[in-house]
Amino acid sequence: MAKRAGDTSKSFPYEKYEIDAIEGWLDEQARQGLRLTLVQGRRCWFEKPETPAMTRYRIDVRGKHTDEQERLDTYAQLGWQFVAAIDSRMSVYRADRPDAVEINTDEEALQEMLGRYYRWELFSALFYLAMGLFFVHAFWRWSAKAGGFFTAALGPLGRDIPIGLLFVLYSLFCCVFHLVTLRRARVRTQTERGYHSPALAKRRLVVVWGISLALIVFYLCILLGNYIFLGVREGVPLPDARYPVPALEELAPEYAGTKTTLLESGYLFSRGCSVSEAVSAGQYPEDSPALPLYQVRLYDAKWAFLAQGAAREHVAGRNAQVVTVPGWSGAWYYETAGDGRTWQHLVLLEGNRVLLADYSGAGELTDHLALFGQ
Amino acid sequence: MPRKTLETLSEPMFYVLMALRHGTLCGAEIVQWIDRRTGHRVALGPGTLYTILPKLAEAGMIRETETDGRRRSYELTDRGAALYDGECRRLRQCVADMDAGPFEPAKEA
Repeated sequence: MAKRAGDTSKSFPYEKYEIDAIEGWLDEQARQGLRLTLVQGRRCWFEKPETPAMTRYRIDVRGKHTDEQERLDTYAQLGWQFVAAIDSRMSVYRADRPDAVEINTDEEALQEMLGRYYRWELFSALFYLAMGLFFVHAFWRWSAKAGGFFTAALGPLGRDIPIGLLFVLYSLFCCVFHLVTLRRARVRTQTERGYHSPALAKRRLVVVWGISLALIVFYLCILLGNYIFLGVREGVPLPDARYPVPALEELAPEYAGTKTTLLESGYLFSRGCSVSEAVSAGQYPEDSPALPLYQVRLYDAKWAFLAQGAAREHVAGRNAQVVTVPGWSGAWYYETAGDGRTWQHLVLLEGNRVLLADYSGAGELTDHLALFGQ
Repeated sequence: MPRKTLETLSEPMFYVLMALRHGTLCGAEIVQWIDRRTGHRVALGPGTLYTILPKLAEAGMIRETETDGRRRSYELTDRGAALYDGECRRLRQCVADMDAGPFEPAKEA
């Protein structure tokens, strides 16, 4: 039956496997004068007849029986009229005759029929588990590309971490939910009358709405935290007392006249800066090994463990040598080669501040370590 | 020893086979027959009936005989009859064991 103007709708506050509870809830609606006409998902549509009725509603799981019409005829002969389908597996029937025998009189037979429903729950749980693992894997690969999880977290990519985490948590939550549903469905009796009570239904609704609302608020907080303007200041001239970052021309006199400036940014897990150089146009061809390349990232992390993690990721497996730089409790230097260049790297750590410097150009970075002192 | 499927029958299954042992019946007639035979003690719901019928048909215990419009009738197969008779013997034995009186362990010589 289609819904009509004036029909009222309500959502049943139970899981679909709680057959007896939904039946009890529908019976209660009938006693309040609401007659079921349609079910869409969890939403039930009711019309209001003149008087409340002592109608009984019962849910039945569809079996392998091929002739549905014959089945419906038999049900009708035994006093049960088909009302609506809850989904492809379950139907709602109504009995107006008080002497109509219950639809399911054997718990064992009903549990057997529900086996297919249980399998579906298991498949759903496995699907969400696979999805969660896929997200973790993608997350891992993404952070490895960015230089490691902690390095990625400190920089602009850190803004995407809560979103990724949300996907992972959501998948795992759904997986656990389906497993719990499966377990609860298996252990509970499905033909027990009196499982439903208005107080229980109300409590369920409060829990469902509470969880939904909490998730929405949590998600909005992440979105706001992520995209709110955290302040960016470009072209900060060097030297700047707040940041122990030397200008390029201080590292090598060959680059006198090169303008090195800072870009100050606020990220989700840190505030920090990075350098940008403006080498005179035409001074060096772009692919020339003589073209100096200088990159510094300095992060004031929200928590010291993030800074320590980023420093560890950069030093691990690099055969780095420990150096001394004033004002830094940890300082490491190492070299790498790539694209016909030799790269010099400096990693400095102090409290929740970490500085990552990469340099390729004239001179030795180790000769100017004092310039990074703070 | 664990009970195999259909090795022993549940009460509703047993009564469905009993009904069909007495003739070919359609779904609603099976329910009504059981209701009359047991004096309303065993009430078989249509949901339970339509769980049992396909299961018994799949196991070869019953088969459809005729389709009159949308009405289907079922009858017992030889296999189903054998299962029913075996179950009757088992139940009679159970009752006989129960009626045999209190258990007295054999005295050792």
